[in-house]
Amino acid sequence: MNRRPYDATRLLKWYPPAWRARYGDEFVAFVDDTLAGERPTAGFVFSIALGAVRERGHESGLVGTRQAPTVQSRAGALLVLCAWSVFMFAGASFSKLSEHSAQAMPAGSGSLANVGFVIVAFSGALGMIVVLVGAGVALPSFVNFLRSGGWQVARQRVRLALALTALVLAVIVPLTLWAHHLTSLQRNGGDGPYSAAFVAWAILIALTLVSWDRVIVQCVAKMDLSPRILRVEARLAVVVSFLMVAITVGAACWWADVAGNAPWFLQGASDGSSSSPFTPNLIITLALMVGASGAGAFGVSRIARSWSRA
Amino acid sequence: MKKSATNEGLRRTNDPPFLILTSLASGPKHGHALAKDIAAFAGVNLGPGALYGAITRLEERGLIEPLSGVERRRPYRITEAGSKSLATAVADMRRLVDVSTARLRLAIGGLS
Repeated sequence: MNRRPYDATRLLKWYPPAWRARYGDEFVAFVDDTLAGERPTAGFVFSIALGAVRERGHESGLVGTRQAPTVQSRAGALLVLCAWSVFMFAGASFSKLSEHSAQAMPAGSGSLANVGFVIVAFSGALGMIVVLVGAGVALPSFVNFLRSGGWQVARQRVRLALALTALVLAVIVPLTLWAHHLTSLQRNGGDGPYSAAFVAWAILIALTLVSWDRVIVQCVAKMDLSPRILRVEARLAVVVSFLMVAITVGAACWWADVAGNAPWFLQGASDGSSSSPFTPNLIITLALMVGASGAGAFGVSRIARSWSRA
Repeated sequence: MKKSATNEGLRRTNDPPFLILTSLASGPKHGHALAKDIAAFAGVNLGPGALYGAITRLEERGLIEPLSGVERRRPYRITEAGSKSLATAVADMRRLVDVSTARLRLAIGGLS
């Protein structure tokens, strides 16, 4: 039985369109010549995937040194904004995990947890204000973008994001009604079906945030932003990046204090029982915060590079 | 990017742009011919992502340029700027090799 030859054009789809238009044909020819009818190895496919990610990084201005400072600055600010959306998710998770933690702490303890919680809440609120100010600053450019045909470019992604948002909102009501019939213990992992539904809802929220990020990235990449607006957005992005670090530190302080004085609270167990302070939810939440802070710091490094070259 | 030969953990120069410029210094080649030549003279198997990533950057910097292709295969040749860049890199390496060689002689002399 003859095997069908490997279709190298499938691998090409990972690269950005402009790169495909310039190098696509010869790249497929190279892959065909190299494979000579054989299936590609995992290493071969990985090399192509890595190359595609690198090219997308170059195209967006996140990788490389040869792009214009404005391109690097815009890419850095956008990366910080995307990292902030991860923080919105992680922050909501932290808010749920830390609910009623003050009551669980033994008398005379919990001052570090309190300070950590205040830092998280204050930095989160301030970050939200800064992001809204950034959106306001870019609003006139966004309106111009829409007037000059931008809606045609973005409408498909906007529709998907709106549909996901509507789904998230529609699920809130039945989920809340369900939660009202459960005890605190059942709501925090004690009831299997409710936990599964809650996790599915959380995944839906994450997908919604990602879909809005895609809309924002697509629009901002094509918007005509003046150097003055870009400078303002870049400065706001630096502030947001510092706030993300502050939130992460605050959450870590809260965790350390609660883990030391009331570890049972983290497991949702009864007072005084011996419990591990390492719960999957909290580990995932803090990992998201650390990862997003790292991404934000990388975005700031791109902004700083653009400033040093301007 | 795989190296076909190892040397007790010591790395040889396997920088894709350097290898591509060295290969093109002997004449124009397309992607597959470049990869085969580099594997032959340096023992380095460049993966498709690494090879075409380096070709893209070298072309952007004006160190190589495309020639008209045969079917889908597009050959590249080294430019004057590319030749100068390669010459500078080779001179830097030669200085390093000279220092290593001289110190190695001293070390071997000290041992004997």
